Amino acid sequence: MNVIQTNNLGFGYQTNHWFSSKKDHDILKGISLEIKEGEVFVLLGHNGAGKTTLFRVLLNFLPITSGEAFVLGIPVFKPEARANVGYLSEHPIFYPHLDGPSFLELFADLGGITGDVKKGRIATLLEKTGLISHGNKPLTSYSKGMLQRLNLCRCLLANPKVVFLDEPILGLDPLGQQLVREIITEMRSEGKTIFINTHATAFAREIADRIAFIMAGALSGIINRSEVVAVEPPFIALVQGHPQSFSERFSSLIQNMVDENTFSILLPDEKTRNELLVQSVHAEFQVISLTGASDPIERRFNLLAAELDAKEKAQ
Amino acid sequence: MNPIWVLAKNTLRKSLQARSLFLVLFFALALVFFMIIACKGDESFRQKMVLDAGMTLLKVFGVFLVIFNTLPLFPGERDHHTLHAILSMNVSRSQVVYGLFSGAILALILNFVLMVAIFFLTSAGIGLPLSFSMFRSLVFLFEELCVLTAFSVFFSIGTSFLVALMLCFFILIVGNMTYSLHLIIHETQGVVAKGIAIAYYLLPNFSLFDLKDAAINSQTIPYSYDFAAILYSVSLCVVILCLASWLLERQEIS
Repeated sequence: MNVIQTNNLGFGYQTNHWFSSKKDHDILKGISLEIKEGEVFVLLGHNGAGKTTLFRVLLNFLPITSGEAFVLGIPVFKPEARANVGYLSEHPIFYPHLDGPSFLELFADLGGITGDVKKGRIATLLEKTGLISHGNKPLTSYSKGMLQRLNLCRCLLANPKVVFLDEPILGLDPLGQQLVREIITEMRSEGKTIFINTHATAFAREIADRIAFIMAGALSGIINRSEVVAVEPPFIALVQGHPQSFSERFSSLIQNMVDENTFSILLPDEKTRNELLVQSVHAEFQVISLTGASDPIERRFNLLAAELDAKEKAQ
Repeated sequence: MNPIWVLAKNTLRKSLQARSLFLVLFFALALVFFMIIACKGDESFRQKMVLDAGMTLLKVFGVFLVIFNTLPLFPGERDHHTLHAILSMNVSRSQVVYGLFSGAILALILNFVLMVAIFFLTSAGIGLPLSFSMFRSLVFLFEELCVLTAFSVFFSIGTSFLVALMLCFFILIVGNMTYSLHLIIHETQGVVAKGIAIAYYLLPNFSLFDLKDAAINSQTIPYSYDFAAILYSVSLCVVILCLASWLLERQEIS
């Protein structure tokens, strides 16, 4: 079943000019997406590409100007489409007059969660996000990272089937980022559908089942994570020594001969990298340098951006 | 729990946190000031002065309470992105409008009751008898403030804070002048008269709710008037809130 589906979805701002006719500014152009149940789907795009706008259209903050969109099979303009939805905004959301638990209580009440279930759920989520100790402090004293964690709690409060996360690791420290990864992994194991907007390609590579690229409001391609990881290696080593001193396994990974005794090899994963380092201690070769290859997703993203740029210049 | 009730409770809490009760304190101080002036006259003057000043102060402070409590509500929800969080749930936009309005009314009731209690205590303190006509005129004033609250919600959704503030004062002033408009219609002719007549029927008639003079001068007003005024204020609130919901439904929440 498609949990999120858009067919040729479009959105544009209308500008009324005093002395000229109306002009449309298309932000989203013919977006067709099918996101399956239990999938972690990541949308990557540069600033102003239309990532957040797509979220806002799917959550009915902005009206659809062409095409159609459904969440859990319900048209997005109906409030029922959001009955099983959790949303984490890129902006820290808070009421200055509330503290953490009462903020969550308010949204639990709005979501129809009551009594002991409400109390239990709030306590569990605050514990999980490390905010339990901040109890009755007003939200104005929270840091941006803390507010983002609190909003993650708010987003998960009603145990939603679909979760929209807009830049979930923005403003979080490494521990906070790790927490988000863990929570996403947990949600994935619970069969929830997760739709993420992010700039962070490494984060996307780590968690996504599928990654879509959005460029100037249009989808430029969708790839599977496994596809990317299998094809493009993450490490490059520059080695000095005779190739014959290599085991058969590493010989097949040699990419370029710099000179007679120096060559580069591509190492597909961390395990292979570690094996090479261990062998280099005993064998007759030396690892001169070892660098992480640029993120394959980032490379793909940059390629698409360059193509788009070239197209625009050609026009 | 009904989302309207949840939002109303939160709005009331927000209003209390915003220290709106300070306005009640200022009201009490202003009333004491007028009492000191009134003490210089004879008993009849004193009673009329306190009644007149008290009712006028209740209206002025009531208007301030409504405007400064209600106008920042919607922009506040938008600026803190709490509106996005609310609308990302199974909550309709009209429920947000009714929730904010109900919360503003709850805050108004709380503050208004406190101000009325202070006014009654002061009146009793100087030996002014509490009459039913006084109570009636206060109910009418409350109805006027409820209508103004509905207008404030509507304006705060449609425009910026400053424009909404100006529009609220405009509606309040013109609304209290509708009786004069009625007189002008009879004295003019042609297109001007028709234009003024359209304005007369479109603008809210706040002078309907002004029973202050009747209370001070102990004039008799039929009880059917109360029913008509309540019906008018409730209908007006419903129409304005429906318009506010319609407006919000069409707004882009970016």
